[in-house]
Amino acid sequence: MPLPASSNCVYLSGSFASGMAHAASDFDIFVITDEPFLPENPTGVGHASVDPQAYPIVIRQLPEGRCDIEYWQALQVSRLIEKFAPGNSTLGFTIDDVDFLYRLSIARPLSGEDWLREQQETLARSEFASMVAQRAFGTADSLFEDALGMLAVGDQHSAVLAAHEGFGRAIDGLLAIHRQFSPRRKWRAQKLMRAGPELISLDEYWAIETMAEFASTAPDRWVRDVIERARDLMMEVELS
Amino acid sequence: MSRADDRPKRTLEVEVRRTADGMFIALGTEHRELSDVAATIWRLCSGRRSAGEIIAAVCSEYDVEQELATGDTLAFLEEMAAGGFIEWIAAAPTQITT
Repeated sequence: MPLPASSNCVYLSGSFASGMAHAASDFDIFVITDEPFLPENPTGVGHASVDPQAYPIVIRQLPEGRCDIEYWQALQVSRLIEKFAPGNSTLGFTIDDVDFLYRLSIARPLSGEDWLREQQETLARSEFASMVAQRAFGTADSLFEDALGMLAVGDQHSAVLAAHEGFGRAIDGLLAIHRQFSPRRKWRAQKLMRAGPELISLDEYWAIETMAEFASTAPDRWVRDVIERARDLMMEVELS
Repeated sequence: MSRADDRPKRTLEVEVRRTADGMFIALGTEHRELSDVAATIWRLCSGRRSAGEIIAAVCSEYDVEQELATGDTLAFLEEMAAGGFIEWIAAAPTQITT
């Protein structure tokens, strides 16, 4: 693994850090430096939403599995976290910001433990959870508005899809408050199991996610029931 | 059959947010900040409880006189209905057998 002579921190994240790894999981490694580091033969370049934007990426196939390494500058990390500082809610953020900071929040240090802990503590004090939840709820509201409009014009197929996605976003918002931030839909059930929110059981969530009670003869009923349940959930989640 | 027998139900279009400062509801461009009592009433507007049952819950939770709670709760619900925030589900007519 190409490493700079010195670094603030090297950490493992992704499914191995979260405990959700399987035989085909990648190793996600992040290398943090003060100065830009350009590894030999980078596989690609990622683009952060803060300046400086570029960060090199190296992908290596190791005997233990595929290893994705991203090389970030400490300044990029601090600027990303700063987006979620109290009072900065108007700066806006991207899904990639959420994904990076989620990975930071669950990271395990390979070196530079103090640096990592400081970043994680700063992130925990920020408005990250609330802002991610608010974004998810806002998206859910828009999808529910769409779904009801679609029902009104007889487009039941689109209404079902919109209500289903909206419900998922409502769950994502709830989970964000429980500090389960991964924006990837595939982990939603796992996150719910870990968070164990009082507001909805895994069984109830799963019945809606898998549309267990959907009846093709009455799709509008399913859409309305799902929206009502999601609205009830969102009403009980306290945002800051 | 009186209004107290009807069941108020939140309309699906209403967006709701809860913060440490209280509960906020929005419908289109209309916004309302709900007081603590109003938020309690709002939560109970599931379409499964009658207005009378909601009034009883308010009396129990806030230790207020029935007459006062009835007037204030029904006034709030009618205001919510007028704004489209809730809809009334009429109580089923009583079956009279002879």
